[in-house]
Amino acid sequence: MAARGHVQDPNDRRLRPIYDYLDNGNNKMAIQQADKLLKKHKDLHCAKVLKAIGLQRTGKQDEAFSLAQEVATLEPTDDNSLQALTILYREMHRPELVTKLYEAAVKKVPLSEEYHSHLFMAYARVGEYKKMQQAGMALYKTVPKNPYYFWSVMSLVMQAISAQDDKLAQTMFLPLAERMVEKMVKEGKIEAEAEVQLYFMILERLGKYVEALDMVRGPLGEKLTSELQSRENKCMMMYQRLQLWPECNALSYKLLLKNPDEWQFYLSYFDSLFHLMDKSWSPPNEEEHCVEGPVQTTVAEAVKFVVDRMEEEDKKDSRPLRGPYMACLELIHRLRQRGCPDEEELGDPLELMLQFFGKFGDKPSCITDLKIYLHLLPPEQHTQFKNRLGDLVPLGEVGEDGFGFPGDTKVLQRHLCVCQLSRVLGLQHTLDTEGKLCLITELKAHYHYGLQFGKSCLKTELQFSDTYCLMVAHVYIDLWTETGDENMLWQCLGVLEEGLSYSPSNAQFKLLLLLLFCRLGAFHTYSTTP
Amino acid sequence: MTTLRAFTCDDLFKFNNIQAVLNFLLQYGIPFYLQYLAHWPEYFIVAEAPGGELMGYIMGKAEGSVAREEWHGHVTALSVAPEFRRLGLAAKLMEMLEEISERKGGFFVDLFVRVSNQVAVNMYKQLGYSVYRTVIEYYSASNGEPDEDAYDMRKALSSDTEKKSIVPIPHPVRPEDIE
Repeated sequence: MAARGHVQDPNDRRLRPIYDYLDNGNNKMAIQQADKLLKKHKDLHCAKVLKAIGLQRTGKQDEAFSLAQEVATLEPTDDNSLQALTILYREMHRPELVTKLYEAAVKKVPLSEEYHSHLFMAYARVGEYKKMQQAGMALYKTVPKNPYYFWSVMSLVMQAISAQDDKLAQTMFLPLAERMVEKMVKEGKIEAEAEVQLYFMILERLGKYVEALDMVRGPLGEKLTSELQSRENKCMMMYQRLQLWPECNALSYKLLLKNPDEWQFYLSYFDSLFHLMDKSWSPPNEEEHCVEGPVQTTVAEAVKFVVDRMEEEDKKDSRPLRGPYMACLELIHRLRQRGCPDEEELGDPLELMLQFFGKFGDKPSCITDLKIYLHLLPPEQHTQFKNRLGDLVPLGEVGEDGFGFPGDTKVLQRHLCVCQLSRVLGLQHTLDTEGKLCLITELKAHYHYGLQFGKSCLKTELQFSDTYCLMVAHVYIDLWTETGDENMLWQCLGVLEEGLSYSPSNAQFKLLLLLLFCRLGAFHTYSTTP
Repeated sequence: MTTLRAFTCDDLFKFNNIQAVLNFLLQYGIPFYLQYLAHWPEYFIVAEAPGGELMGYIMGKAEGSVAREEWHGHVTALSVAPEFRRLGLAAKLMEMLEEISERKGGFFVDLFVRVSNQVAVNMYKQLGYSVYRTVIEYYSASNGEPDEDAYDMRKALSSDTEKKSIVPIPHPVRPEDIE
């Protein structure tokens, strides 16, 4: 809270100790010191304000406020008082008073860049967009720096966004903002990347997608350097809005070749390809297909594209990416939706998913990835799928209790994935009561066995086998719901509490316990300190 | 696979799975987050899974004197949700932050990590980072436990042709001594 400004040096020296006391939280001394100073220099306004801050911080709001008002009504123009009053009003959560302060200051010192800036900020704190627009222009007129001009433009955009009547936004605020930016463009005065981003934002909101596209692809777009792929992302957005499917397709294709794991571009690639097919669009014979390059318009091309990407991954020595394999399943899904027989060229979904599991089954993401495409398997195949997945999990020899266990955490994760997938497929729900109880025994055995892998886990980390415990809890809840046997619920609570004892940071355990306690009517506060 | 995109304010509502973020939010509060979003949006990137879940995010900034060849990118926070670990996502996010820092002409990228966090230290070493110096009692503990030291780890970028920025300092420093 250092005072820097146009105040005479002696005052700065006198005020310094009070600032220090306030900074250190020593409000009593600050007040005392301020009083001492005021006895000698009763018109040292800033000291009054600092005293008020001290009073405010010791809970004497009313006294602090009236003291501050004494100074405020004099409409001070010294930096120290203004800054101190700003701090006080902000601590009192009265930001609107700061605007009055600087309005007065600016009237008295109309050429002060600093006061105009502060006035703009004061309006920003209370969201007075129209006044911000005016303050920004006043600031620009005083000192013609680009940021000030564009603060005004931004304030117009804010008025557009917050307008009750969208017509007002479209016919008044945004066109005015657009004209303001165009003026700068014509005069060659665009400097910063943020100005180009603002221009894009305005054109987009006006629905002027063609102009926005031209702008981004033109020389102004070259300023968009900070964000990775900024120009490509903006172009893609405009192609989609304008339904320029050839360009959308070509750009998606190019971006996927560079990064075969970017899911959003598989979606735009497929979307655009099918749109083009539906429109029976075909690329012109001799010229370039479109400004973004070659376009793909047939199912055969899409199939080849996906197959090629998968082959690239298969060939790699390094970690394979999930993208191409997921894209293959996505393409099958879409072809199936369209009733297109070509899906067979991509292979059998069951085999593809088994292959995916083979490659990625030891990662926790495998379950969330495969879940999306399970609907591609007909119900008759569900059990077969589960069994074949099980074949890919190398559990150890079956012991006395009838179970074989994983040798390391990777195999554990695979086994867990199979259990979870089988639950998603509804295979756990179809078991009868005895079947479910057997399942619980098996899952509990796996849970307890798996705890050994997590002996060195920190309190903030989850155990590797936590999900087994969660699943046991859910099967108990299934049983409770079906049979009404309350014993199931109590067992469930016990299992969750046990899980929490080994894994105190597991939010899922805590949430489920909360839910169950509430169902039981036990509304006592459940401690959730990490 | 992932969609890598700019983090938005709305994402603050979807973070319940990235537990580290919850702790982070509780520690620093929303204003800290929003400050980064306002000043350095290009460094604030989130990864989203095909099902719409948030997989992880990275947050950073650029600072330091150009004249003293200390202009650099800094990793403020990096976190991947447990369900999406071991996919190389952290490495991908770091790669993006490094690329952005290169474009800005940074001389190096640095980050602070707890001395006890061997898992993280090893991960960064594998990504090409080395320990530049130790900062004593950088992390203040909230619950009566002792403060913990941090490693300041660095990776040189192409502007630092002689790799001067990563020559380690032999003696530890205190937080006040950091620029």
